[in-house]
Amino acid sequence: MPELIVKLGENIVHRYFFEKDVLSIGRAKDNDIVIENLSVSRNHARIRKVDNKFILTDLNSANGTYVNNVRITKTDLCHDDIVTIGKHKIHFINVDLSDEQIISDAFGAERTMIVDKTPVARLLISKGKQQGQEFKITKTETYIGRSSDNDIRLHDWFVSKKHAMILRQGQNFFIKDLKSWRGTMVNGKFTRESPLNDNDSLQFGSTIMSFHVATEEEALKITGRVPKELVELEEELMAERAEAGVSEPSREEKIKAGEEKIHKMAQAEEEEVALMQSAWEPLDEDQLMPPEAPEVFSVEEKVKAEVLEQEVEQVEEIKTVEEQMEEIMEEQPVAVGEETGDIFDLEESSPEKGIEMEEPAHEEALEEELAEEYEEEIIEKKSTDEIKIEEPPAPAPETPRELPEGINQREVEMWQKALQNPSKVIRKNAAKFLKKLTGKDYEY
Amino acid sequence: MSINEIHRVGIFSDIHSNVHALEAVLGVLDEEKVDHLFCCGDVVGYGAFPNECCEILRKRNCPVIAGNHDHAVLGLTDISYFNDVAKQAVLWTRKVLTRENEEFLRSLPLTYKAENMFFVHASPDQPEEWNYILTMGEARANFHYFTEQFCFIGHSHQPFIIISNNEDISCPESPEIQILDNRRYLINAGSVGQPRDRNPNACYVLVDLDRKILQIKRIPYSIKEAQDAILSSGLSQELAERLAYGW
Repeated sequence: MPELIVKLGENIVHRYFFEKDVLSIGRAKDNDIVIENLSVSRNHARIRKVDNKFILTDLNSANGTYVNNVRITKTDLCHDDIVTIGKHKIHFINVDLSDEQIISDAFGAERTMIVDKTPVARLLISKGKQQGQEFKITKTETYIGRSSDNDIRLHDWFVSKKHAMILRQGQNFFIKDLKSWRGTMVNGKFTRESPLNDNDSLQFGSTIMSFHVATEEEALKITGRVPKELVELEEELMAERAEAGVSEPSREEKIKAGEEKIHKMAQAEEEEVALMQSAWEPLDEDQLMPPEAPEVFSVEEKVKAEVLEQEVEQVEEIKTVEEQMEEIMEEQPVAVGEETGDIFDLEESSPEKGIEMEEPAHEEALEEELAEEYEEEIIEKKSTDEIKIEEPPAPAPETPRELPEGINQREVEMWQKALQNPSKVIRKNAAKFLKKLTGKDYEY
Repeated sequence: MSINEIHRVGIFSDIHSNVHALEAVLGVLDEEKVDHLFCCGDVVGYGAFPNECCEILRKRNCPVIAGNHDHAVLGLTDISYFNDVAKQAVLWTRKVLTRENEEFLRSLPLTYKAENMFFVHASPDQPEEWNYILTMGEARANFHYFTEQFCFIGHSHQPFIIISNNEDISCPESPEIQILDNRRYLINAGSVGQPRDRNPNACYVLVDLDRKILQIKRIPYSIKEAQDAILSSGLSQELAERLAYGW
């Protein structure tokens, strides 16, 4: 049974098995293969099966039908022919599979097998107690924090138990701050969520590290197998070079070409990731305030840490963080008791958080009370510390941070949307979070 | 075990005591958020971690089908037709396998059905004969021996997808197919622990019934650790070497 694979660029739009005697191609809806593009005529071409031959006829189309880049009016189709109609390409596959045919030859497993690409990035600690340590990022979600259940455990008092998470979507990476006490900085700026690029500098508490996307060479070291696509690519590149009389391509060029190839391969994977995104929507841009101060979520934790800080006298190391924080404290009262839309706080491992979840009303009252106390403390601290802050202050945040209002509603909407997700796991999760947010039971 | 509604399924086969490959596959299937796992047999044989592999699968409590190597270790199948290396591995496994894991292997069925899916280790026509399905003709004949839309097998360590429209069968070039309602499928899930299609990466199948997509996927794992363990446990060097070639 011949197969027709319709492609637009590198993407497969559809696959058809040739099961009828005639197969029509065109823009009109009643065609067997519908190509919705204005460069395609309503009834553009037709393939007719006559005995064991497949005859392609152009139906006087405006822009023509091409087979292997030759314009045709009528021709026999052979295995592996490429029919071009407008911007679409149709790959005609007609392998005669006798009963004696070995399946593994027909399946062509090695040529086309989908390979999961790992590892994809690494983090190198450049400053802090663990200086010099390197962590590989291989998972979709890599958690960073002080407690032992993180993928990357940092021995740093200024790092929260669950501090941040690196999300991998194909070959793209994002960092998400998990409402850490000290905040997460990317290239010296506080962020709640931002994309990560090669060589970005990350700061969690007093630990600074650099983020590196693995080159294809590094990625391949793990398996020892060179994907055929890359070998072919290198061969092509070498041949081109030889023709042009240029010496061997530099390592950088090879890496760049390899990355482009990998990027293309990742496109298919991205589609899969898009499904997950319905349950993990990034916050709108307007919610991401430029240079932010760390958010305070648990006043008790904050006060405890302040005490600890005095004991630990490690202030100098994170001076800029401190200064930025204090400035914000001065400009704006600490916003507490207001939930943000971050979905991850529900997973927070600290015991305080656990209580918050169970008794939100009490906790709110307690937090308000503590917030007032804490504000007083800050005012007092400000008056006594005024002389100290003489040094040129760290760049002031352009906008003081505010917790967006109505974010709960947005979160509820997000999870309600996730309840429609085809994956039961996602729906179950959505129902769980919705219950925590609204107190109601949801069917999944 | 009753199977709840199936949405997203991970199918894998022929682990052959390769715990490193098994962990890699299960790790990625967890990430893929599958709601059901199925194993098409041959949990043991060849590799150095039969107990560990059994224990992982027992813990997962997923349906596992019996394979010829599982039966060989229990003395339920004749090993005289096994090659020397395989025979040696069976005898080695018999020595190290715990009583609990022996019982686990003994409890495995030859076939399993879940909704529109049928699972068998070698071939649906005579599950206990351990026949290989290697040619299109053998595949065509076997479509008559299951009624479900999907039949998943293992045994040959070579993954494939065969599609039947009830008149003709075809073998797509691609490892990813769109599932159509009026087609039936015979899928070889390849091998987790000893692939033999010249691709050393661990193999598994991912089926998304909601999106109607079936994929044969590969995942790299630490081949070196698996090889070192084989060599240090006194198993044949050949068994270690072949992992790197995927043959």
